[in-house]
Amino acid sequence: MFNYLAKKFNLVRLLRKQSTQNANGKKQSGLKISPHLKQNLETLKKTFKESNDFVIREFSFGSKEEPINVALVYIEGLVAKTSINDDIMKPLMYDSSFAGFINTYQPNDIIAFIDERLLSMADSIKVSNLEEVVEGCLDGHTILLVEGETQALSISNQGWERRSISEPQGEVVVRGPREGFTETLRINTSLLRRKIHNPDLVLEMLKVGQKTRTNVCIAYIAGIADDGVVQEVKNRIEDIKTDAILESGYIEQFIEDAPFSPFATIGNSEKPDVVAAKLLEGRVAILVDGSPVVLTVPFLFIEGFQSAEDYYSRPYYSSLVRILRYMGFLFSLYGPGFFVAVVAFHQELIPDALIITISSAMEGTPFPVALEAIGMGIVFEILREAGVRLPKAVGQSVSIVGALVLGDAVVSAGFVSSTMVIVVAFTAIASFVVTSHSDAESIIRFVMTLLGSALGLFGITIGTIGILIHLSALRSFGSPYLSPLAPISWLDLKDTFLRFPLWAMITRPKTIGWNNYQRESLDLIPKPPQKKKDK
Amino acid sequence: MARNTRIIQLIIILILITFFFSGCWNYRELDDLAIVTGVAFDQAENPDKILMTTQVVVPKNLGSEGGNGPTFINVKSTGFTVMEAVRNYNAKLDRRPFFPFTEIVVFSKEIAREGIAPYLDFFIRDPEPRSQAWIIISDSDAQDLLEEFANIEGIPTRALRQMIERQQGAMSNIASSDVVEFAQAFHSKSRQPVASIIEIKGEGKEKEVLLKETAIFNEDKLIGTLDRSEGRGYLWIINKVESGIIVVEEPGLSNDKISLELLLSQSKMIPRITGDKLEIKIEVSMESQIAEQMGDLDLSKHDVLQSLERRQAAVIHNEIMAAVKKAQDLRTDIFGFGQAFTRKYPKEMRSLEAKWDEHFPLIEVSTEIKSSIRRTAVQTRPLT
Repeated sequence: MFNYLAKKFNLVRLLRKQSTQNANGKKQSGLKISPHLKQNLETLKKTFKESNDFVIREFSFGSKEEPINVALVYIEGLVAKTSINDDIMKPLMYDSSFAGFINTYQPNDIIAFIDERLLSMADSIKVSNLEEVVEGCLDGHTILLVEGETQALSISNQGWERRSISEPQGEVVVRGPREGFTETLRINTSLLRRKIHNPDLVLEMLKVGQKTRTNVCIAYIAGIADDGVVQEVKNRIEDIKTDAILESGYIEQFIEDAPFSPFATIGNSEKPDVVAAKLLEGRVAILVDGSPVVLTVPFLFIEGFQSAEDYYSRPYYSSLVRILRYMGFLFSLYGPGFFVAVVAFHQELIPDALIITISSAMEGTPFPVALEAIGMGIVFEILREAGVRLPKAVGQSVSIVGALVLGDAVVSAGFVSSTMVIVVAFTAIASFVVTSHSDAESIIRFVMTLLGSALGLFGITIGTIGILIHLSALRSFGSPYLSPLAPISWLDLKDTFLRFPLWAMITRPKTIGWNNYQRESLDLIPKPPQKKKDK
Repeated sequence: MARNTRIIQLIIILILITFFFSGCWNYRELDDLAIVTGVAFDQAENPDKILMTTQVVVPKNLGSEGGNGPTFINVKSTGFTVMEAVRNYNAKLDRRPFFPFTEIVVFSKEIAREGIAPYLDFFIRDPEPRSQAWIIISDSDAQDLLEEFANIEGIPTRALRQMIERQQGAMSNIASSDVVEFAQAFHSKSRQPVASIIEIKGEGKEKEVLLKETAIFNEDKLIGTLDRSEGRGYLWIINKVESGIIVVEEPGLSNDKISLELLLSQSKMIPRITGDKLEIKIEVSMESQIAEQMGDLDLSKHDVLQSLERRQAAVIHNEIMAAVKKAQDLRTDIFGFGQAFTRKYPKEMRSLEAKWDEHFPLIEVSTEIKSSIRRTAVQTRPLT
């Protein structure tokens, strides 16, 4: 539909034209580093438009007669200053006099010598392109340019202010690791490495966003993840030609399979343990610099009902909770819609004792029950939105006003029946049980309420069929969205409605980890110690 | 692309249209309905007409936020047919009567004697009324049963329904049927319907109702009654005794009584045709426990219990035979003996069925009762 509108306004053609122009206009700076230091610095200054956080530190060292002029360029705030002082400048200016330094006139000898003998930094690479210099600066590297050399050293000593690792607000657990991803990509990848001590964990870097040049990392475990899926993820991300990637949500919206569906086809998590578990099932993770939310694909419908804690606590209660989640999900989809349908169309379905209670509560309310349901649904969504965005202290007063004024006064004033308030309130609580699908839940809840109030249970049936058709047509990076339910895979039901004990979960999910199917040996069930058959 | 958008447009239009269907598509607000909990039929003054009394609840006086007014009202309407009377309510009542919660249908004895099938047709044909409503025959005017009497529920119809259901579970000596059971028996050639009779006692504040006995119908006409022990006899035969107290006299010289509380009972009717003779054997196997003894019997003795068991069996046998005698005298097969024969002897029954009311009284009924007393509750010795 958006495409349709865009077409209508001739936007598509206009934009196409522009984007081809952009593509032609690119690649203007394939500039090599010139041996003239001053010239390089001028070019860089121009490139950075004289921004004042772009720092050039020129100095020289070596013998008085034949000093070697060098320059350090970096962006203030992105680099660790102490390391520039102690590990770059000090060795060059002080230690070089002891290093038996001999001037030769082979090109790039000085650079090599500095790199090999003087610099006490772990991570440095030689670059020969001004574009790489700029990129290095922007990534927080310190670049050492040397007069007369056509190479420069890009020294990695990033040191910017970063948020420390803390417990993610959105995924609180009682039992399980508390650490969460941060906004810094390197820290995030290190968190994954620390979970999976295995060289098979592959981290591939990409740069996305023509203006922001954001680092995006694709993580997967070679030998478990499907190569096709990995390649597809890479292709889709590389195809993103946009200005800015400010959050992983940008990536998600550019690469998802079903952009028009209310259901998310890409999962996300802020917890390294969750992402590690998904990687180990054969999924691919996408980490975006600047975002603590890591994407995982393929994402299945049932993943929304799984929580990390399910696997950390023992299976019985986990299974119970799992079932409750499905119930909560269903209730939050159908609650108001079903209630309206039954009360306005199929009163005979209500049990004898209940109908009197319901009808006495509805007595004297001025609005039709359908309007009540939709109105209260809107009120709830507004309350929630208000509560989420406000600071904590104010947010609380919103919930108090919401609960007391709307919940109580509305009923005692006779605007809305108390049963409706109960239904809407319980639905609201139920919708928080399955957070992954909560967007879809809210939308579908409204649709169901409308259908239920227009057509009764007939409408709800139509809506349900529509949702099921839609869900079963969805795919996420090649995996059927409803698997293992449709197409059914009996073995994978071990982790769907019930959470089987870990020793019984022998295989990875079929549609995802099929090329490395078995994840643990058989017969891991704990047993009393057996008598050893001695020789 | 163009085709896609057309489809999307079409879907949007279709969805939008659905919201306008709502007006006349059975959308009924709950507060436009008068919930009918019971219906009573009497003879109107005009002998061709029906006097229909319905009990509707007044929701605003019920529930936690209820007012102090009456919780129910009884509204009368007349018509040549039931449906006409129902429609006539629209001229008398401010809400549309809504029948799915009808719990009882009361008929006066007068109407029951003439036949209740014409009235029941509405309850079976119309989709609205629930067919699980109990059929009650009122000893006096049917509408009086819907008037206030001593009860806890607060709504007379609901109280009557509770009484019938409680009685079945705790006493099991008055048979009752709902609309469907009645209609099934009515349609069957080899079984006749029954219903409960309720009697009103006292006036004004002391008014109370009493489940009195079981009505026997031939086709749809009331022709006789079973008293309570005959009623339990009937229920023994059709395997519907759920619980109850069997009172037997103590063995020995004293006339002290012992109450046996029924725990479990199963019964079967076994038909047999030998020559021209139709026989049926009622097999009852039941267990009870001693609920109370008024004398001073030592119940720890095996032979005492055995003699009690024998007495218990005798009581059951007598109840069964009394019920059979009553039914056979009235030539009305309320037990469904005909059905039992049809199941076992379908060929023979084809000729017998037509004149079943002549064959039924000739059936020889015998009983075989496995009576056992399981335990003596928490006491073995008498109190004294």
